[in-house]
Amino acid sequence: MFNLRKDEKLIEKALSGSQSSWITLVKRYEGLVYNYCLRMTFNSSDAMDLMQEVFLAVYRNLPAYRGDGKFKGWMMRIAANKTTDFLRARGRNPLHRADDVEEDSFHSHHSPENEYEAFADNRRIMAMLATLPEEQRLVVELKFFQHFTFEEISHQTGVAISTIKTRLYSALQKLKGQLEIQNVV
Amino acid sequence: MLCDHQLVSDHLLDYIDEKLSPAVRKQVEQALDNCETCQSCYQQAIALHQAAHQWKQEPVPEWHRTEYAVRPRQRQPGWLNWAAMATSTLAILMVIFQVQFSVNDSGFNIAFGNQSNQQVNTLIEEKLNEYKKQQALLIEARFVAQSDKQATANQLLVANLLEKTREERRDDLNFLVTGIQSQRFEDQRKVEKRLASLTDNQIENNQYINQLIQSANFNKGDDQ
Repeated sequence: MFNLRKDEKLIEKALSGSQSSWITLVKRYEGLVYNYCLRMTFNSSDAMDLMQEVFLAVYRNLPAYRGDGKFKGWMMRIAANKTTDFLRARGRNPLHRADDVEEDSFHSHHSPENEYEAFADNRRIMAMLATLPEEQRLVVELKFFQHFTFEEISHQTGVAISTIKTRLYSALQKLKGQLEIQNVV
Repeated sequence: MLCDHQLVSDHLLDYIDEKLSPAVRKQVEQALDNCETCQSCYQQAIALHQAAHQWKQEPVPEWHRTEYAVRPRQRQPGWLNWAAMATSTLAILMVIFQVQFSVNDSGFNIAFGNQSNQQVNTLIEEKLNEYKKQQALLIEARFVAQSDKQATANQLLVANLLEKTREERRDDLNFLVTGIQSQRFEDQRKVEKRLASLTDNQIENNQYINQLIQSANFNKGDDQ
């Protein structure tokens, strides 16, 4: 509740031109959005591009945010829309290989070996998610990683609850082999 | 019994979160026991749940958070406003007190009021005279040019007029001659017509006279 009120105050100040309020708001949610984007795009440069697109769209739509729900939910709705557009555009790009999970970009660009080891689980999870079609992956993401209710997911994606449940069930069926292999490892 | 997976699809997550009523919970448990697919999905859901917990938040690389977003407030530094105000005031005061700066051989000179008005006046007069001379020359040249132009225009006009008058006279004469000729033709036609009718009359008269003579002769014969 405190956070909610604070979000609204930050939004109000950002709208009146306060850069520091906007930066505070972005810093509060950028980790969440970046990691979400990473799980949806599987590579850090795409995740950065998508995250920036999401925050740009959030800023542009900020005057339309009426504060009638949690800011996070509203923001993730924009993120879901932007993700769909982004993946569709990327799918049209002939140079992109859809199932390529970036193996060691973090290692090679940013961190020493031990830090790479720390994110090895993340690569494994991304490889698993990469086997799912985009719409099933979005439902898995919103349900298991963002912990939204089915009603909230339905509101964010504009898809009926029954369809979301079916997509989730199909995703679980599809993941069967993946998780078994992971358990063995 | 064949399972359509609907029950588990609908309630699996609530089952994991233990949010189901005992009755539905029992139904789901039965479905999980009897259907291999549903059982497998349950296992995957648990594994996915664990995977989500295993995810380590990756730090966001440094990026420009305001590049396309918040426009900074257009605020000018305070001293700039004050400086502008002070400069304006100084300029106004300098105008009011007629401050004059002049540089001569002895150095730099600042003067208030109209001490050097005479100097200025003579300077203005000189300039004015120069200007007058220039103007007079210019006007004279302009007059000469104008009179030349006018003379040429007059000559052209006279030539044009003569040409025109001659043409008009020729036209008038033509018209007159044509009119007289047509009148003459008309008169001639009328005379011919009258002549013809006179001739006809004469012939008729002659015939009549002949008849009269004949009848007179005839009467004379009878009398004898």
